[in-house]
Amino acid sequence: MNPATDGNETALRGHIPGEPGLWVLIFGDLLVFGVLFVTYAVSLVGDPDAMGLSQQKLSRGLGLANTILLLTSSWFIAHAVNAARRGSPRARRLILAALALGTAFVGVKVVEWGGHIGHGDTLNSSSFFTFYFMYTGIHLLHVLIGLGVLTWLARQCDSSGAWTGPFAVLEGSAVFWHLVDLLWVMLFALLYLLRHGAAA
Amino acid sequence: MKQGALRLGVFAGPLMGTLFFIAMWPLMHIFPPYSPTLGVEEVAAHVQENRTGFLVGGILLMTAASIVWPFITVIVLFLKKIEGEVPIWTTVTALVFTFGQFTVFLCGLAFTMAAFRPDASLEMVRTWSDLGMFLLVIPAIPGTTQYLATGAVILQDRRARPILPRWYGYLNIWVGILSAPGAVVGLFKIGPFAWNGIAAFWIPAIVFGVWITATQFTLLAAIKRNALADDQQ
Amino acid sequence: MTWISKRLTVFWLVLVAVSVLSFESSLFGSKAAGAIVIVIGLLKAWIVGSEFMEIRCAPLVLRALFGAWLVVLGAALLGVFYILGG
Repeated sequence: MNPATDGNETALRGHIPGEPGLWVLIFGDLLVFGVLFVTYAVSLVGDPDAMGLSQQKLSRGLGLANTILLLTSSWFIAHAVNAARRGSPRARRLILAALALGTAFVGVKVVEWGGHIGHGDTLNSSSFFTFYFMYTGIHLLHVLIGLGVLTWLARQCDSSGAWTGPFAVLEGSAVFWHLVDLLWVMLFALLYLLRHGAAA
Repeated sequence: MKQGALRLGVFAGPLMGTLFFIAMWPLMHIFPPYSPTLGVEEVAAHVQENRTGFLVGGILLMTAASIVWPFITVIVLFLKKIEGEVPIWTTVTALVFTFGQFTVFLCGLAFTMAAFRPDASLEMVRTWSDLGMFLLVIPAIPGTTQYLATGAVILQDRRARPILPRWYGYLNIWVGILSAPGAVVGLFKIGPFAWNGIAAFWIPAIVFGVWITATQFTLLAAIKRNALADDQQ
Repeated sequence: MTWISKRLTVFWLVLVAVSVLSFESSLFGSKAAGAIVIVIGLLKAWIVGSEFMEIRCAPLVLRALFGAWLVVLGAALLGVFYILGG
């Protein structure tokens, strides 16, 4: 049984979270999203006024809400991993909490998208909205896969709520879910917050 | 245990890829793809200049679709070994992969149609060429299903020594997710999601290149250690 | 509440606070605002990776790759924003 991370870092040093193969997916995704982020930035500075006009239509409030939902969901799944390290029956409740918040994220996203579409801002109505819908769409695909994984994880817990599968499976799945969070953090910054100074 | 036959089967994969590439680049000059914004005259001119290339390229594409089956089979044999008695996701992989070859075949046919009659109207030429371009890129849609199913099978392997390495399972998931943007090319004529764009063409193309290389690697290694005869529970 | 990790909770609070604050500061149009948003975004990504994914406990290779991603992406974004964008 691995000790919890607090104050026991030396015990965990050199440990690959999940399993080595997982990091092919993680870094592969980070690499490609990095390319997508830079592509977006190039478009943003290429036509800052038009992009800025569309960008202003985004609800930063909803973006912030989604950011907080995923950050908190990450908090819960990280604690579920800790619970499993201790063999605690709290694991399933924590996984379900993470799942609930992730589902809420999807709900907010649907509302947000619906709002834009209702106002006539669709996938190909402007360059910015193409980026917005496509990037949040690809991200949403990750969220949906993650939700599937979280659901499956919850079902692997026994009747008391303790994690029963191999620890690496839970740990690795949590890493994927944190990736979903990490990508969103970047999308929030780039799509919702980043303005090109030219408009100033 | 039929190692020679299995290896030959694996070879069909890169062979298919080579035919595909020869068709696209030296023959048809559509690598990179021409812009969707081109007018009927420009597209017709492109086809006219490369008429023989299009006709031979079409044959190569249709041939590629017709000879890749041993490659698919070897993959499916390994997946079946992993999944065992009720091979759901193996079957899904096999079915979708099969479906994908039909789109490649049709792609070759479309380009053939574009080039076949020099006296065809310009609109007709562009229409057939458009179809070819779409078929090149839009099979991303079934592709995603195929890669995710393959990844799911490999990652479900509970053996102490997995039949296929786990990183390869994760790689399939990665390829599956990143192939998905190819689906939207019908919506865009410019930008990263057009059929010549970074997100809808280049990323899926590169990711596919990584996949086919990794797949050969992985299959040959698995064949070498006779993983199909593995008897772990 | 002994099952709650103080470390994770502190970092979570930081991330949430920064998100809320940057939400406000995006209303300013200064030229440096872009750099601030990019750098803060990457810092948040670093925290999620390092603390939540536990990359900080991982072997050097993983930490190096993650660090490289952050640095290269940051340089590319800042480069595009300030050099390409003028």
